[in-house]
Amino acid sequence: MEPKDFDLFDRYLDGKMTAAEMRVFEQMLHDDKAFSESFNFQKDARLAARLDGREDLKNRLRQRNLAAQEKQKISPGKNWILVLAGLLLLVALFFLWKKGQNKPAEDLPHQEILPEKSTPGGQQKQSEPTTPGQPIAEKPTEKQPGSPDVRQVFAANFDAFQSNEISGMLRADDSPDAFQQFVAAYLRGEHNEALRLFEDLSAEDKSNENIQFLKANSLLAVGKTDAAITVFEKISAERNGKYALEAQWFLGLAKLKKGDLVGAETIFRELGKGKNSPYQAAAALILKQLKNFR
Amino acid sequence: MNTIKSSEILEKLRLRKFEVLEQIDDHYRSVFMRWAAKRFSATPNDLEDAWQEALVIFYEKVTNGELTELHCAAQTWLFATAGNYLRNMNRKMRRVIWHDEVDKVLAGKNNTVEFSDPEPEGKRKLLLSAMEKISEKCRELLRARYFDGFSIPEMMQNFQMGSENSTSAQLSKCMAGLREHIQKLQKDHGA
Repeated sequence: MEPKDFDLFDRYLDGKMTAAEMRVFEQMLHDDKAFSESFNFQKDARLAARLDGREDLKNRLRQRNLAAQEKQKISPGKNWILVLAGLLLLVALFFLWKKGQNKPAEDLPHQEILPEKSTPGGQQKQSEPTTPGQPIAEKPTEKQPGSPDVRQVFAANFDAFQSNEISGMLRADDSPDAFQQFVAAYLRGEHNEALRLFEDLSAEDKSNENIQFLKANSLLAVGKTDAAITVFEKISAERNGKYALEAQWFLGLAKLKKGDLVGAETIFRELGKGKNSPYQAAAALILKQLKNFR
Repeated sequence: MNTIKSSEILEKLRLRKFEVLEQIDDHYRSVFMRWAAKRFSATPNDLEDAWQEALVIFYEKVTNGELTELHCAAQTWLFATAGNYLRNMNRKMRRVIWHDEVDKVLAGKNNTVEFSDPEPEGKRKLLLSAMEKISEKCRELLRARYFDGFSIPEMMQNFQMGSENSTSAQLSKCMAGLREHIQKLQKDHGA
């Protein structure tokens, strides 16, 4: 290939030719077979260099990550601190639980019958939907004879789901849309308002299972447990759903609120089996709590 | 990374400052993995590939002048591009719709990348093999020209070559060598 051809090909492929030059160039491609073949090789050669550059860049990134992973394996000091902190927390929780068990039932606060409070899945504490002293909205479907009401375990463990992702959806906006208003009310713990605002959402939003998950949390918070259960059941059945696992946890809590000890235990047992599940420890803890009601 | 504006990222990448890409990788790789794992039914390797692809494309598009400004944050562009890559990989892939910046970018047809079918694997391997057969110097020059997007004057300066003419002649020589290897490999493989 002549250097002048090389320059010509590059100018054409880089889009640096004038319209007149392009016409002449394309005519040459059409008329001159050798020129056309040479041009096709130039295209392949450019592609080869580009692919090679891409591979090189990916390798550099890969090597960096491997090196970082190796470094983490070699110096696990940070991880050990976390493990130790976790163990200490578990021991503390165990002693608190034992202490709570030894108290006579009449001394226990109305709702927080058990002192442990697990916040799996990144849930954050927010205002309690039912305040101490208020009657719980629904009657239990099952009553365990000779034991306190299992619904109190619900009250001790339920906080409507929150995550940084949801909080991050709120942006400073002078005129928030219906979705933002719904999320804002939800995050403020104003669940009746959130449910009202849910009705203003578009049909697409209303059928979005992630938004339905939030709605179900609001339903549970305001005591519309049956409606919440219906939604949680649907979401938790979708194994690949974003909040399938979370929905299962809240379904278990909803069953507790209904006083359905057997149904709740089945769910928490299943959650406890899931390896790497963020709910594994919390489910085990709640099952331990529920033993008191047997 | 939050303190670096998108315009600064673009500016630094235009100067081929690889460390900017490293910074982006360090800050957003794990965020992307968590984000994408919730949205796409894909293996961790697929997610890793998608993220790397997005970083490489970002670098390419900025250095070759196709991407001169961003209408969203750089990480949003990267997430959307990686998301497009995953969707293209498996068009039936289930995506969970959420409302966030990435969805807005995807819905708004901003300047993200739509993926088409890649080069056939056979051709890709042949071209990469040919690149391995040329001298390291030529390989470096050709990558700089056709991947990093250096112009002839920039190459002359960066590789301390005498003149634009000699830079162009050197590149032409390297291209001729590469072309020979491609031809030979094609012949060997009966293409």
